[in-house]
Amino acid sequence: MTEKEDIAVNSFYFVGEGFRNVLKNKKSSLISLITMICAMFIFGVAFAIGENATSVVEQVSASQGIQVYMTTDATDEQINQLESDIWNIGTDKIQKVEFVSKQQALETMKTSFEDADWIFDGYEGENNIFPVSYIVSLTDLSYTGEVEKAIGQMDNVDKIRSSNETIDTLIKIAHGVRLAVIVIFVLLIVMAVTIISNTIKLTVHSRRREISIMKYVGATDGFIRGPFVVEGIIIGLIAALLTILMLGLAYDFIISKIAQSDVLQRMNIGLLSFGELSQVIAIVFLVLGIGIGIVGSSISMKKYLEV
Amino acid sequence: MIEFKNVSKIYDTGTEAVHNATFTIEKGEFAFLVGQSGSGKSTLIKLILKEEEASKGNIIINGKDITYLRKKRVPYLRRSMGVVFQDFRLLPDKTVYDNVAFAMHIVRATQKHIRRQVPMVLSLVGLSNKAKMYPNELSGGEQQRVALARALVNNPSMIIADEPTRKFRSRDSLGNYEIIE
Ligand SMILES: Nc1ncnc2c1ncn2[C@@H]1O[C@H](COP(=O)(O)OP(=O)(O)OP(=O)(O)O)[C@@H](O)[C@H]1O
Ligand SMILES: [Mg+2]
Repeated sequence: MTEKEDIAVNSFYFVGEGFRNVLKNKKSSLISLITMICAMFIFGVAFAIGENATSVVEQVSASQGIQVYMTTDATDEQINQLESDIWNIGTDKIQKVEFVSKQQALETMKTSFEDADWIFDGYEGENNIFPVSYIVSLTDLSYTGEVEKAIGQMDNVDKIRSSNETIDTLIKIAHGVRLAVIVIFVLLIVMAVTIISNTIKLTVHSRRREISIMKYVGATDGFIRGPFVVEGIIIGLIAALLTILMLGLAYDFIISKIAQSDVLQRMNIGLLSFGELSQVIAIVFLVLGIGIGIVGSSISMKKYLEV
Repeated sequence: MIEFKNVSKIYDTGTEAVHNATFTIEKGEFAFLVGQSGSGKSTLIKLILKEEEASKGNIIINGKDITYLRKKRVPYLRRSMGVVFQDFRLLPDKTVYDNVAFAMHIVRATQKHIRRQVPMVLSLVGLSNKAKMYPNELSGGEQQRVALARALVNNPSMIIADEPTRKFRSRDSLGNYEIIE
């Protein structure tokens, strides 16, 4: 009989023993549980901030688009041609091409000069000096440079106004936040594994006599480790479920407050719902919880199995 | 079945607990090993179980030289014999029943088999009425009988029992002995 078979056949016994251990060692179970919840919660908060930052940047910049001004002498035919040329760059990059007529351009100017729109009185109709333009929205902002270059080489294009510095800054911030989330994530994993394996080490240490007895009677390492691993998994699972619950409640509460703010409402920017985040969070937490449980218990047992 | 060839054991402290032991115990043989306290009886058993490594010589169990036994195989060597340790080595937070059942879990016995076998062995050693008690609630003799029940429960082909040397031996005390069926 191999050790693997041992583990497979005994899984029922392991689960029973694992649960018994969790309840028997209430104090260390609780320490591990709280550590894991803290680590996961901090990660969850960082992840939520990161995802929202990215989403806001995407929404802001998507609403901007690249404005392509045509030369004033462009004919209707050439105007139509440019639109299809832009689309030809690829629908994977171009999301929307919006036509802005001379009249619309004038109206836009007028609205932005609200109190002094009489300035433009002389530019109506035939005297309209504003050029026609297209507002090109991209599927992803990273295509900006490439698309701008392609459009710049097209006929009858006068000038291109695009991704202003604000957007660049926003993108940089979003990237920074993402990086920070990853760093936090790694630090938390290291922290959680360290604390939990130390906690388990204490449990194992206090039960070292028991472990050595098991070995003297002929138990394999896998057999002895089994209940401890199950113990780790149980704690990891409980921690994951509790954290998701807490995070969900806290998130919905905070988001509902923020979403009411004037700035976001006026800019028509929405924040992500917890549902949109919860899938990734749930997967990460479950993998993390179970993984830390297994790794933590394996690391801490090594020394005591040498009998 | 158990063969020692020029086996010596010198502990790190310098104590030579076993000196040049050579003997053979055949299958079915019932052997006693008698000696003063500190003469190396427990050490000999530890060598058989690979709890300690021999400093010199060869130990052959069931035809296999265990000197070169891989670490992974040690649990299976230990399962092949039932051992009553001098210090009993009972699991303190398991009941008498669970202490005996544990040895069966290790060899992946079925629940059904465990539920039948454990009470039988416990009645054999006269502890049926103490099945739910914990080791620290038992007398030394009772603890030893739990250890014996655990040694017997998987029907091993050999039983090894380790007892300390006593100044005044009662008649039923066997000292160190090995039973081989
Ligand atoms: N782990 C150890 N490290 C160093 N010396 C040891 C160790 N275990 C036993 N010894 C020494 O080896 C010698 C033999 O000890 P052992 O336990 O084998 O005696 P024994 O014959 O079983 O005695 P008793 O009848 O009292 O149980 C003793 O002198 C003891 O001090
Ligand atoms: Mg002894």
